[in-house]
Amino acid sequence: MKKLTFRPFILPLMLVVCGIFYYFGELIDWASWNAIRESFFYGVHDVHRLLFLVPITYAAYYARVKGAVIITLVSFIIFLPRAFFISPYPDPLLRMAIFTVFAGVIGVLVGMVRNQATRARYLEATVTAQRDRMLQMVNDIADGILITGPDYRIRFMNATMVRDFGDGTGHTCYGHLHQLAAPCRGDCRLTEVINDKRIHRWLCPVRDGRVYEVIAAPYIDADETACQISIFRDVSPRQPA
Amino acid sequence: MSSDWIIRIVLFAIVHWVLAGVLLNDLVSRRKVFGGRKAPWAIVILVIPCFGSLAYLLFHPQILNPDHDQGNRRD
Repeated sequence: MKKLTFRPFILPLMLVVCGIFYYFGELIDWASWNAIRESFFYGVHDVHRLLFLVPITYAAYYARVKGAVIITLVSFIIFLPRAFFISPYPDPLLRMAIFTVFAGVIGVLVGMVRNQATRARYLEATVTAQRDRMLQMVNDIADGILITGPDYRIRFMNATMVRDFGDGTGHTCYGHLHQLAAPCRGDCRLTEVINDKRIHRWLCPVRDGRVYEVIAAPYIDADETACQISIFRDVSPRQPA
Repeated sequence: MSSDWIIRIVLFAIVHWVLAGVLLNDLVSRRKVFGGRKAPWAIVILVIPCFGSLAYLLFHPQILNPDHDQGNRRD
C-alpha cells in the first residue's frame, strides 16, 4: 500500500473549500444562483463551522501542535467577517470563539498524542537496537552464558551454551544440564547469588566428564525478576593425545 | 466607540499577535525564505494584521510539514 504523504497545498485547499462552504449563502446572493438557494446556507452557522475540524485535525496530525494552532487561528480569521458584519443571530462572536477554543483544544490534543506516539516509536527502536547489539555480543563470546530464574528455569542461553548442551530455554537448569529431577545438592548457589547480591564462583562437573568454572552474579530481568546470570568456562583437564 | 467594537478589535489583535509570534519564530529559524530576504517578510507579518501572516503561510506551506522541512532550519 502506498504510504500517505503530506502535500503542502492540501491544507490551503481544505481551508478554501471550507471557507467557500461557510460563505456559500453570501456567494449565492452575490452570483444570483437562485436555483441552489437553500435555507441551510442561511441558518445559524454553528454546523457549517464543524467542517473546519477537518483541516485543523489534519494539520495537527501532520504538523503537530504548531500546525493545529496555526490552522485554528487561520480558521478564526475566516470566521471573523461573518461574526462582525453578516450574522443576524445573537452572540455570533461568542459562539465563534467557543468553537475556536474547542477546535483548538482538539487539534492540540491530537498533536500531543502524535508527538507521544512518535517518541514512543523512536525509544522502542533505540531499545530494540541496543538489545540486539548486546545479544549479538553475548552470542559471540566463547564462554557459555546462562540466565536462570529463581524457579531454576532457564531464561536465556547464548550460542555457546546451546552448542554444548542444546537449547533448554524454559526447562529447569538441573534437568537440562545435569539430567536431575531436583536442584543440585551442594553445587548450586542460585539462592545465595540472588539473596546475597554478590558474585559467586565454583566448579561444576557435568555428566559427560567436562568440568566448568561457573561465575554467577545477580541479574534483574526485563520483568523485574531477580535472576542469576552465569558464565560457564570449560576447564576440563585436557586428554593426552 | 462602543464596547462591542472594542471587543472585536481586541479579539482581532490577539489573533494577529499570536499568529505573528508563531510565524516570526518560524521566519527566524528558516534558512531560506521566498524572495531571499527575511526583513520584508517580518514587516509584512507585523504591519498587515492577519493577512500578512496568511500571505507568509501561503508562500511557505512547508511550515506545516516539519518532518520534511528539517534541512531548511537552523539548529
